Amino acid sequence: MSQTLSDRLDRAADLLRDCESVVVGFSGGVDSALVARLAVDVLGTNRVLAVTGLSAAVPEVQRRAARTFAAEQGIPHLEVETRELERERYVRNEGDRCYHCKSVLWPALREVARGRGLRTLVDGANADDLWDYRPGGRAGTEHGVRSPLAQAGIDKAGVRTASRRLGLSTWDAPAAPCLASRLAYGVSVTADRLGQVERAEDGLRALGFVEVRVRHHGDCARVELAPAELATAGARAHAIAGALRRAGFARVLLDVEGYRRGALNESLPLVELRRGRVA
Amino acid sequence: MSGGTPLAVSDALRLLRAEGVPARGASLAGADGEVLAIAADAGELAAIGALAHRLRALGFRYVALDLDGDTESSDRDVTTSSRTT
Repeated sequence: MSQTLSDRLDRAADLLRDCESVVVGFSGGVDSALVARLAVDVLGTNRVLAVTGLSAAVPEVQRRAARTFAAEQGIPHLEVETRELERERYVRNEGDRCYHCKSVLWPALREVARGRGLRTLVDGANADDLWDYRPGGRAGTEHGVRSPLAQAGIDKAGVRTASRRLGLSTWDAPAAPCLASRLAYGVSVTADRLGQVERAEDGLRALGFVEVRVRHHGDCARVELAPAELATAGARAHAIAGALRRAGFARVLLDVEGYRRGALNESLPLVELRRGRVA
Repeated sequence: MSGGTPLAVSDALRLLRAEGVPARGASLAGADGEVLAIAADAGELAAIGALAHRLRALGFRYVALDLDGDTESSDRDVTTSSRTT
């Protein structure tokens, strides 16, 4: 591990120590997993609780990953039901959907923290996230959430390197944003659509594809595969289409460019991206 | 640009064929017609991918292979929108 990354991890540890006790917003992904592990290392298990918010937007594979990681690492873990699907602005699925989701999540976690006598909410945002379009981060700021990785200047590559050195099983886990991120902006978020996407992605993983995104465009599914996997996809078009049809999609498209992080954000007006919000 | 037009679909089909991609047809997909859906053999995936930037420049946000066209041996040559909500 480079001296710089080591220094930054020390800084993140110091930030967590200053928090005294924490609730970690824990998805089970590589970022929040590292924060949860660092928090336990610094504060001990009595002053750390990793909390996973559950709704139809969180796929079962991710729920299992969170449970497994917490159990492996001996991290106290709690799941709470969240109700973002009851929030009209969230369901409408405009460019600020994540803001409305996190505006439901963080108060729920604050209640948990209050009940357990834990002082600070922390999340897994990293330094790269500061440069991406992340309206959910604004909700975090409004609710006093701290981001030790981002504050310490640890980017995604640093998160993976540190996780590997710490022996965390998440170090090479693919990014796993919630299922609502698969719905094109303007396509309303419903439990049925989220279920379609989850079944479709499960079906593609059963075919052996690893990094998959099924984008729901309302009248069709557009499949994004990692560029390395796209090369073999042509020969498996029948199987891909079959998996998607079984999930309930009548029309199936295969993106010829493959997976691009934040691809659906490309539809947002540039001016609003620069402002970091969408009206 | 939020989506393509039937005219842009025709231009896309012309470009594909001019570059030697034997596309059977193309159509708009997505709630706003933001996807160019190309009906062609799946073996043409890489060739279409190489043209993706030029195709997107015609007004589409995404370029995709229409697997219905491949798996059902459709010979449709659609140039109209198939938008639904």
